[in-house]
Amino acid sequence: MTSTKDEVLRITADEYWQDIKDDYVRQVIMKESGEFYPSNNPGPETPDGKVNFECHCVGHLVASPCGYEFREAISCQKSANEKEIEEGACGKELLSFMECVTRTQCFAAGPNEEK
Amino acid sequence: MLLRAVGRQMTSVIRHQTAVRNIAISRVALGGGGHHHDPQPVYIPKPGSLDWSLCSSPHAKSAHPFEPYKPDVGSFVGAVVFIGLTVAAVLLKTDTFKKDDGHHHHHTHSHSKQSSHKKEEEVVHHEEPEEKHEEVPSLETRNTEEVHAAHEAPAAVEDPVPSTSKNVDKEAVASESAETKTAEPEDNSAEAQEKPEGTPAAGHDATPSTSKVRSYHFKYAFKFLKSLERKAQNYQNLTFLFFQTAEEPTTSESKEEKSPLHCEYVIIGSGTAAYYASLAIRAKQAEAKVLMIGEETELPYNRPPLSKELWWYGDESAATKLDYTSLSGKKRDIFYEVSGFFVSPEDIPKAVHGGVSLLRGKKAVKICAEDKKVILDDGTTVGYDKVLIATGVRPKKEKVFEEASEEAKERITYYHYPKDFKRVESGLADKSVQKLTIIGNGLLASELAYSIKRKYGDGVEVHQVFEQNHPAEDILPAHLAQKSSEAIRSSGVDLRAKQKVEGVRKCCKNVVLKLSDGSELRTDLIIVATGEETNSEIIEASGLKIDEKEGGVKADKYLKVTDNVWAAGAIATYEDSILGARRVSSWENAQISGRLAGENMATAGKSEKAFWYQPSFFTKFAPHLHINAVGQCDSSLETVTVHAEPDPENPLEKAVVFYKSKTDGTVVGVLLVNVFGPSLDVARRIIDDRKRVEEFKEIAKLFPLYELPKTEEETKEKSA
Repeated sequence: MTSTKDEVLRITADEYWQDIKDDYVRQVIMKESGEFYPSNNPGPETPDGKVNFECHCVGHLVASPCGYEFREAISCQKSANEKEIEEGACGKELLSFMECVTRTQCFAAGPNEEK
Repeated sequence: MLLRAVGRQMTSVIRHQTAVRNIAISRVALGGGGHHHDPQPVYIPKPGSLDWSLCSSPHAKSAHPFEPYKPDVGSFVGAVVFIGLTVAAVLLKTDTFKKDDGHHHHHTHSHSKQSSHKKEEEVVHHEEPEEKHEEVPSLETRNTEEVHAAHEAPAAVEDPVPSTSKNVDKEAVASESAETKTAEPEDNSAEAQEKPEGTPAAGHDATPSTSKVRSYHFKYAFKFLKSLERKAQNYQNLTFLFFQTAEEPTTSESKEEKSPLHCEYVIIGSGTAAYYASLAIRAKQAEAKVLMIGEETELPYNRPPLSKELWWYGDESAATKLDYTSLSGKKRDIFYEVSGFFVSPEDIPKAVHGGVSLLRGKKAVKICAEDKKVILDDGTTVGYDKVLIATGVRPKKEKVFEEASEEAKERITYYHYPKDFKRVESGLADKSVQKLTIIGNGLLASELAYSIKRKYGDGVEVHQVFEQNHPAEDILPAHLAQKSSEAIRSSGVDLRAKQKVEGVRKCCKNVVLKLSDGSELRTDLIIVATGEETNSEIIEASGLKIDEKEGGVKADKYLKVTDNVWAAGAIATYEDSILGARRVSSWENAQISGRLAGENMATAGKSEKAFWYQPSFFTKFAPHLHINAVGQCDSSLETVTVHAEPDPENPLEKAVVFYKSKTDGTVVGVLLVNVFGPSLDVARRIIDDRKRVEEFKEIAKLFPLYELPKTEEETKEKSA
C-alpha cells in the first residue's frame, strides 16, 4: 500500500531517546522551547519599556473606535508611578476611555445588537 | 453626532467647492449617464486614452496626472449647474444609499432623538435613574447596558484598571461636588467646548448626591436640554439634506454631502484577512481610518468553527447565535467584534481618532488603481489612498447539482457561510434531516462528516461521497489517508469512495443521488463541499494579474499587487521566499497575511516586511486524529513519515510527516498527527533552514513522539 515515494519509518522509544548525533538537530534542540522560531506576535513591551501597541494582545483594543483613548490611558498608566496613580494620575485618560467604550458600545453587545 | 452639524456649518464654505468638483468628477467617472447601473462615457474616447471602463477621467488626468480629482473648476462651472440638478433628480428617484436610505429617515430621526435622549439621560443620570423613567422607558435597559459596559471595560484592559479604579471613583465624586458636569462624551472638539468638560457618568450612578447639587443639576439640565433641542433640530435638518429626502429641495449643502466616500485605507472583503489587516493598520497608525467593504451581511467572523467548534461545543443556541462554549468554559460566538466596534461609514470621515468602518452587503466590482477608487455594484465609488484586496473564496459550484430540478435544489446546500451552518444544524436539531450526504473528500467535507456524526451520533445517518480514494488524500500520504478512511468508517460515517454523483432527483420527501456504481442514495439533505473558487472577478475587472497556476491575484513578497494595492488571504498568490508563489486558503494564512498586508500598507515606503511566517492549519476529521501542519503539505511530493510505536494505553498513534521539495529534496512541509508542543515552530525552523534531511529518525527527535520519561529527563538534558 505504500508507494515508493512515501517512506514510512517507525521509531521506537529506545531509538528516540538515544543521543542525538546529527549536528543540525543538536543545534535546534539547544534552543529553549519557544525560541525554535520567532513569534509573529510582538510582546506587550517595546525595547525601551513602553507599551507595544502592535502586540496582538491589544490588537482589538487599539483598533476599536476607542483605540486612541486606550493608548492615552495605558501609556499614562505605564509612565506613572504607583504614588502618582494613587494621587489620581491618569484618571482623566481612563475615564475618557471608559466613556468612549460606553458610548460606542464597541466591546459589548448592545440591546439591539443584530448579528 | 451633533458635531457633524456644527462641523458642517463651519466648513461648508470650503467644502462647497470641493464638493462641486467631486460631483463633477464622479459624474464624469460614472460616465455621465446619470444612471448608476449603466454607465456610459459621454465623450468619444481617443484610442488608448480610455478603456471604456468606469475608471479614470482622462480630462482630469491629462491636466493633473497626479491629482485626477482636481481638474480646473472653471471648465466645469457651466456643467455644474446642470449636473447638480441632474444629480438631484437622480438622487430623488434612485436609492443612492441603497438600503441605508429608507432606513435613514428612520435612522436619522431616531439618531438625533437618541442623541438628545442620551444626553438627557446622562445629564439626569447624576441624580437618580428613576427621574427619567416616564419619559424614556427604554433608557433603563440602555442604562444598565452602559453601566455593564463600563464595568466590563476594565476587564478588557486588564491589570492597569484595578489600580486606578479607586481613584477614578474618587475623582468622579470630587468633580461632581465641585461642579456639575455633563456626561456628554467629549465627542469632538467643537461640541465639547460648548459644555463643561466631559466626565462620563456611566459606571457611578451610585454616587450619592445632595439635594442641593440635585437642584442645581436640574437647572442646568433644563438649560442644557433646551440647547440640545435646538441643536438636534438643526442637526435633523442637516441630515435630511444629507440624505436627500424628497421633502427638502436640493441645495448646495446637499451636494457637498454627496461627495463620494473616501477613506485612507479601504479593504475589499470583510473576512478574517480583512479584519486582521484592519487591526494591523490601526496598531501601526493610531488614528488610521479604515473602511471594509464586505459582500456578506454578517459582521466579520471566524470561519473554522462552522465545521468544528460550533458542532463540538455548541448547544441549542448555536443555530441562532452562532456560539459555543470554548474549552476554557467561556461562551463565545464566531464574530470577531460586536457591531459597536465598527464606526458607521457616514461617520468615519469625521472620526477624529479614526476607527474601522464596515460597509456590509456591498460588492466591490472594480478597482481603478490610477484614480485610486473602488467601484461598488450599486455604482457608488469609494476613494482610497491604499486598498487591500481580501475577497477570499467561495464554494465551487458543481454542475450535477446546479442542473438538478428546483425542488431537488431545495435539499442541496453548499457550505461556506454562517447561514449554511444554521440551516444544517437546525434541520438536524428538529429532525427534519436524519439522513445527510456530504459530497467531497477535502478537509471541509471530512470535518463536517466527523463533526456532525460527533454531535448527533445515531440520530443521523452521515454519508460522505467522493470520487477520490480517501479523504484528504491530496494532503496525506497514501498510508495515512487510508488509515484515516478506516478511522472515519469506524466512527460511523458511511464513506462512498470512488463514486461520482451522476444525478440527483427529488423523490417523495427526500432527494436521491445516483452514484456511478449504479447505487442510489436517499437522503434528506445534501451538502456539497467539493472545493472553493476565488472571488476573482474584481481582479479581472480591474486589469490586475491573476496567477495562472494558483488562481489568486499576483502579489509580491510584500503582498503588494501594484501601486497602493495589496492583497491578503485566500485571494492572494504571494511570493514566499522559501516555497515560491503560493496561495493558501486557511484561517491562519488569512490572519498572518492580513496582518502583514495591513502593516505594509501602513508603513509603505518605509519599512515593508516580506512574508516570512509560515501559516499552519489544524484539522480533525476522525476521533483521535488531530492534524496540525505547516508549509507545503502536498501529497504529490515525496514524503517520509516517522511513526511512534502504537501506544497500548493511548489510541493516538503519533506521527510526523516530512514533505520533500521536488527540486532539491529539502523539507518544505511538516504534518503532525497527534503531536503537539512547540512542534509547529520546530517545523517552521526546519522549513526556513531549507534542511535537506538524510536521517529522518534523527530529525524526528525534535518532535515529542514520546512522552518524556521522568527518569530520563536528566540524561536527556545533559545530552542536549
